[in-house]
Amino acid sequence: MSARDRSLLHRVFSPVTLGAVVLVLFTAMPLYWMVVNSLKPVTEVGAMPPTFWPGDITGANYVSAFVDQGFGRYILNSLVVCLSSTVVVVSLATFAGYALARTPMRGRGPVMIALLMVSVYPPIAVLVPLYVMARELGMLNSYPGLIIPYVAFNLPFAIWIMRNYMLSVPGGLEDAARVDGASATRTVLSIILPQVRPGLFTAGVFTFTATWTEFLMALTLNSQDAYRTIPVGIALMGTVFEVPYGMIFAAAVAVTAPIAVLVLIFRKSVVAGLTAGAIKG
Amino acid sequence: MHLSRRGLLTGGVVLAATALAGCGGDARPPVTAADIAPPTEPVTIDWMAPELLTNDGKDLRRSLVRAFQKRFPNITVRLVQVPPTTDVRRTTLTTQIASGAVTPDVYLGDCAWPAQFAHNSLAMPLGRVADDEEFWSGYPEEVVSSISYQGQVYAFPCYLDLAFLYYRADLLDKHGLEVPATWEELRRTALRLIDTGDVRYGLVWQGMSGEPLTCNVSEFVADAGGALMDLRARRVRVDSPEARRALTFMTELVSEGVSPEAVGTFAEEQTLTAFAGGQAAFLRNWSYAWGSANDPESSLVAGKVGAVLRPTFEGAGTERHSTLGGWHNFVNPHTAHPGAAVAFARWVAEEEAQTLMAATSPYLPTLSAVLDNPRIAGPDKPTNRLSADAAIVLRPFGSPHYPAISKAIYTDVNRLLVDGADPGAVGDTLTEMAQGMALARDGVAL
Amino acid sequence: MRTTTGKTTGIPAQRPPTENGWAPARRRGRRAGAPPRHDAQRRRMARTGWTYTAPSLAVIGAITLFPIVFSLVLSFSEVRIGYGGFVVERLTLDNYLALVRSSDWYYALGFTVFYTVVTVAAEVVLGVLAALVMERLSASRGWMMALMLIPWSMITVVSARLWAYMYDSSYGVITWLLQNLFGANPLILGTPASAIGAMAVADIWKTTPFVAIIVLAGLVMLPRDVYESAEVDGAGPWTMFWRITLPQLRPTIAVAVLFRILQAFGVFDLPFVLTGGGPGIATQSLAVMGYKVLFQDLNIGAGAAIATSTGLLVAGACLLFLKVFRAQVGKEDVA
Repeated sequence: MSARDRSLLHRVFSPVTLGAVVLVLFTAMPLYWMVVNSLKPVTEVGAMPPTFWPGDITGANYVSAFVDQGFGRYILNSLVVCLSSTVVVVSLATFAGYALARTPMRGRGPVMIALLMVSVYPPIAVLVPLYVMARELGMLNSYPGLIIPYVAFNLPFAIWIMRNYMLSVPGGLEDAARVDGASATRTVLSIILPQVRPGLFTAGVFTFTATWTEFLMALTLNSQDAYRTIPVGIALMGTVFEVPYGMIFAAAVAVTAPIAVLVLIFRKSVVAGLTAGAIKG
Repeated sequence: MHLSRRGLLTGGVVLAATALAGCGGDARPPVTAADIAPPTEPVTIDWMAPELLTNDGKDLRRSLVRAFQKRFPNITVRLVQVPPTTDVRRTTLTTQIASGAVTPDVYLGDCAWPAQFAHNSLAMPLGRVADDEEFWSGYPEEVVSSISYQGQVYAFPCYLDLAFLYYRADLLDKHGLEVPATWEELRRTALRLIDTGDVRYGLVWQGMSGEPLTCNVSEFVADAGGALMDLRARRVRVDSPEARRALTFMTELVSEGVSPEAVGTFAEEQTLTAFAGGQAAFLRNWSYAWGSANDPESSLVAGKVGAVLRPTFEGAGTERHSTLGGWHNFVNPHTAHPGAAVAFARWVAEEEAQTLMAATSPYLPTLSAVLDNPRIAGPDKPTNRLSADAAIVLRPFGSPHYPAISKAIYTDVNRLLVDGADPGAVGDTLTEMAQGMALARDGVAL
Repeated sequence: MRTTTGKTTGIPAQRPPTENGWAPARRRGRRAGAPPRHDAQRRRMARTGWTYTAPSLAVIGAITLFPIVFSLVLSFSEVRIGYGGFVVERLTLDNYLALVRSSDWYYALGFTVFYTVVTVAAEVVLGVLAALVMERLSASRGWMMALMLIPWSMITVVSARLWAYMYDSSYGVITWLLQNLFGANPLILGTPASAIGAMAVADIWKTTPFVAIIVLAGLVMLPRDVYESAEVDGAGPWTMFWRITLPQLRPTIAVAVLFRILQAFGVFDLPFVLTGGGPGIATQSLAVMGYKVLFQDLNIGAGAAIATSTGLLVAGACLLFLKVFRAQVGKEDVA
């Protein structure tokens, strides 16, 4: 791209850059507020006017979350359930997405629509039958008991995503590989996969966050302490009449911060994963 | 035919759909409390209850379980934790018990649940125990009536909750004012205190679109001498001068600035925060608020608070009303250990547990002998002392459709409060409410 | 084979697809599904397709089919809970009739549609903007990504609590700001209009990153050569955005919008925690109403009817959407 065009682009996109500042502020302010209030003692959390920096910094909320509520265990459970679900979903979705995008299988349209239909059914209505199934199969309060429904309910979206990215890979690649005598699976893994890295990343991130934040199913299927996930653990905080904001925020910071730090540490890989390494300019 | 049973799972979906037509019901519970004796062999039961705190911040559930196991060494009670939100708890229980789960064996449930849970086979009818006149005569009549449905008792009382008026004793002293005995007097006192600039709000109460508002409405209507429905929750009685007086007063509290406009968004938590933060002169809240408002760690007004029973309206008698709150222990009708489950639930309702609870926690005992004994709870807790004199009001939870009835009440009143708080709109609200309540009672409201 | 897949962990190695020397020029742009030369190969590919799809369909079918049909049957039944589980007294249409007679249902439907349209529109505009900005960032893109991912990965129940805390009328920071900046004394969650607005803001805050990240991934996959030739033709940046970027992004945006519609239409956690559906029923979405009817009132049949009709309505909306975007979502016949 020439220097002239670059400056031209810049000029046009500068309002966008301004917008970006607003966007960053809009995104960051509530997060800042959460962190600050997780460090305040109870009386200060309810103070008016609010204090923008804790007058009296305390780690008491964090202590209650981890020591009294045993939050470490919930984090481990969430990691096991969400990472397994994500790996399974992305693996299955890669092949299904490839098939739906790039093979002449019949009935692709109906399959895509059927996947969509599964996603539209409100989850509250399927809670009871899901519980019955899990109980009959003896899978209540177990990791697979949550992983399997998470996989089933998150696959449709991942398949749609993967299929969409598969469509944008040039068609000649596999033909060339096929001429080389590679098997279909080998073609997908070695030729197609690197091309759809943004799709893999997107599908993975979305599956992970969807399972990471899921509440009602986790509560219903894995209610025992040993298998509880983070959202269920946070929902247990407080009494009927009192909302312990400080402790909830502390727990939220404790489970969100690692994600943010991980993304920051691996930001090069994250960005590369998202962009398939295509540096433009 | 029962959809939740194994048959449907293994059977084909189409088969199930066609076989569904014309299915009959079943009347008999799988297990009843009749002829059940505590087991002699070792058993373990699950008790589902949200955290209950003692006065010194410990877990009351654990001390109850420990004391129980001293008496019944062969019954182990495991705690099943559950979110404190009432709705979430109801969801969990419905999902589990409606699909025939054998656990939890015992669960702590809201006092508004018995009729609905009995109607939907989610609680074990307590058979013989219910015929035991002597046993039940130990509890306030209103409590027994609230846990009965069609002649059966469906829960063992655990603790009682009542509403009180909390006030800023320091401010009343400072300005030489009396603790108000009537609502009209409270209105004048509150406006004076706002004028002095010592507080932002006069009275805070729960006006949020939800169950707490139904509690407030039923209390105010009772203060005016009326009722929302008859005792059996059949006839709707809100199109009455008493209800009109109550709602008009509630609306005026907002329109005259005695209560903040925000009252329409307040649940217990927000009202307590406003009061404990020194922003309000008066607070209507449950018994737990005494401890919280006097806790120097969470309250700016600790030590400056007084508590009395709620005032009443001028010329409406001397009774001080509070709606019945509190939680009871229900027994899962599918429990594999009915003897142990009943033994535990019953033990919690009896003297030893009730005394332990009264002495160490903010929860009010339900057993009259303990409730009426101020020595047990300690003289420093006025809520226990006052509760014996309260006139208990029952919300219409004798109806199995109570949640829908309550929704009709709180939705319409909340709209009145947030939609300009116009006392002139009270008549229309009452008419609409009466229609909504009637539909709900008939089970046809959505 | 394994070493090649290892690249997915993110080592930047691949050149943009169109520069890939393996792609013979005559095949460029050809899509899968176009007839290959031999029928035998075509049949083999179709078989491979089904082999690849089968595991996914099996998992989805095994887990979701029974619950959905179960709920569907209940919605056409007069049902109560008995000691042996759900007892179906008879099949009936009453549950649906009750819906169409309920003014609350019409309100919930109207609110849900309105809310979906407004939030999804706002999120798409903001999300595309954010993606365009992020695409142009180089060093700080990782930071921006990290920041954007936090709200999205936040547990909804917690973010709803956070916003409830900030909106609170007695100690909320937003209330305080409005009081001090504008002298207003707002009751953010206390009046219908402001409660709906407040809920939309909280939702947009949390889900814009979803759109932004999908769009960004689509953006970086756009072939560069088109821009280059457009530049040669003297097209300005705006023209390029409207004539090249946006049309090419359409399939990506369409997928983002499709799934945002699904999610927004089923919005539950946020109003459930933030407003409880209030004030009055101002923020009662179809999902919240369904939940209340199902689990508060234990009105199983009607609750299932709300869920089923919601499902059908969203499905209809999605099909319509796909029809409109037919040419863009996929190059082949999806709808």
